[in-house]
Amino acid sequence: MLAQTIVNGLLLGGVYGIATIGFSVVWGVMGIINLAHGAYIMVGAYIAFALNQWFGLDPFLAMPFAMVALFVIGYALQAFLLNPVMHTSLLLTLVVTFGIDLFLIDLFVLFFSSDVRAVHTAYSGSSLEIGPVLISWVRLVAAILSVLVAIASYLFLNRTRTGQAILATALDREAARLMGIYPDRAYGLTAGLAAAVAGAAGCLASTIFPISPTLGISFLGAVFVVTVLGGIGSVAGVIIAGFAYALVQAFAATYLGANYQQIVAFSMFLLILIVRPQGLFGKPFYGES
Amino acid sequence: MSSLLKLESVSAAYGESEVLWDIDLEAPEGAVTALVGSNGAGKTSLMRVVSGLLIPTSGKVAFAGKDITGLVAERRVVEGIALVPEGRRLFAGLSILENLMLGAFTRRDDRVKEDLERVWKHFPELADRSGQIAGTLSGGQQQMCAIGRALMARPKLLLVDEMSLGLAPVVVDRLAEALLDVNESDGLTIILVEQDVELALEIASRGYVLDTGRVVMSGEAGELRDNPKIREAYMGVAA
Ligand SMILES: Nc1ncnc2c1ncn2[C@@H]1O[C@H](COP(=O)(O)OP(=O)(O)OP(=O)(O)O)[C@@H](O)[C@H]1O
Ligand SMILES: [Mg+2]
Repeated sequence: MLAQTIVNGLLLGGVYGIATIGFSVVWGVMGIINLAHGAYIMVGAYIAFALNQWFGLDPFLAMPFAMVALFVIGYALQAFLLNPVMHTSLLLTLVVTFGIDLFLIDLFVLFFSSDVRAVHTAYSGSSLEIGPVLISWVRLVAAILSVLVAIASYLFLNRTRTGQAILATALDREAARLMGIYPDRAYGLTAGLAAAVAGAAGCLASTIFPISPTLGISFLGAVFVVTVLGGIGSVAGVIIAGFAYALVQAFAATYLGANYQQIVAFSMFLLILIVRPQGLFGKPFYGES
Repeated sequence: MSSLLKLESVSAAYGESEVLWDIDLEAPEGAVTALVGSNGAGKTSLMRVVSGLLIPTSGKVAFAGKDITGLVAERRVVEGIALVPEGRRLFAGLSILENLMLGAFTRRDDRVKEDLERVWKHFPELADRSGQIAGTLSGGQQQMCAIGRALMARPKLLLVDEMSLGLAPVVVDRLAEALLDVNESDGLTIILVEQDVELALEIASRGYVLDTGRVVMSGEAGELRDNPKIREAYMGVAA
């Protein structure tokens, strides 16, 4: 039971990690707490669901489509709605992202109804058996893909010219302008890529969780916890925190019962806020130490 | 000598509050021009105007024969203007090398590596620790990195705002030497903003004195240095 619990946690950790990367980076780079982030995950999940229903496409293969679609959505919303607002009041961005969240949820209720859906594949029910431990194929593939997406995100931010431009803008907007970097473009790209990774997370989530227009709401709670745990804006921190979060949830589910999952997770969140507000691996966003 | 930069009756304001009035200023090509004045005189604001961070309310800014009055800062670096800002403004969470490479962000030519070598040559202590996070550097090293970052843009005009502030004299000498070297070997045009008026007028060939947002005096650096009014007001020498 112990081994199975650990495996359950590890398999979900990556998904929580990539569900959080975009939210955390947007917060770190722009100071925006994007309340619509959960809705982006939901949209990604529906894209996987719809492509599966209409064309029989494997939900994992839906990832590139969801990522492109959400990149466009994230970029456009940043460029047309959030950039103008964030220049006047950062606080107002909370209102705007909440509005986007409600809009997307209602839109999907309209098109897909609020029925709970699931994506089925030929291999959905099958598992790998190692001794007494069962490893679901779907979850294993989702875990591997999420780690790959996480590594790609990390390398993008830290090793590419564009990633560096985003970090520079986050650290000193005016100095970045002196380098020839247009801050609004950097923000648009940040939001677009964050949404794209959320879309990928949605595709993976569609293979594991039931789908409904409010899928994002429960995810947003987890995303908040993992962000604070990992340190705002830190991709590496978020991934480790995703695993920590999933392990805690798995243990709570096994030993206390499924009802306690959320309570334990959020207690952990409050505890961290009190004890280590800078996160477990805590340095401030691209801080010196 | 023709002027690389020419400001004609430039005025500027932060919102409602005006800070610069009717500024005429020229930076001769290939020369070092000093800009001095007491605290709050408007030196930094003037550098912001030249670098495009502050767009003038009236007047004209011309660079290399082109009117750039309304051009945004992001474009001016491409045109060839680089600023070493007051307070250095390094990207504190990134490494020395990352800071330097961001200086070359807009460049697509193949001489970036060569320019990096030039920065390492001037400031070997940066080369030795190129992976160190900029925020953890000493004040002198940070200023070297800030100057290096601006040089990485391969500018035609280099603006340096308060290079010497808070640094030991030996370090200031090294920085000044590096600036003079690029000025001489590459013909780089420089505008030097300094509290240390003695230093500025020693390095520069021409100078401007700014007071409460206006140019109150200008001329050959040597003349300004010998001017009793300036000696009294800015160098602490009794007239
Ligand atoms: N962002 C700003 N908003 C409003 N006023 C400003 C701003 N920056 C500077 N000022 C004002 O403009 C005037 C000129 O300031 P500036 O920084 O250009 O002077 P300075 O000559 O560089 O001074 P110092 O030697 O202290 O660096 C000052 O009165 C200052 O208060
Ligand atoms: Mg100043």
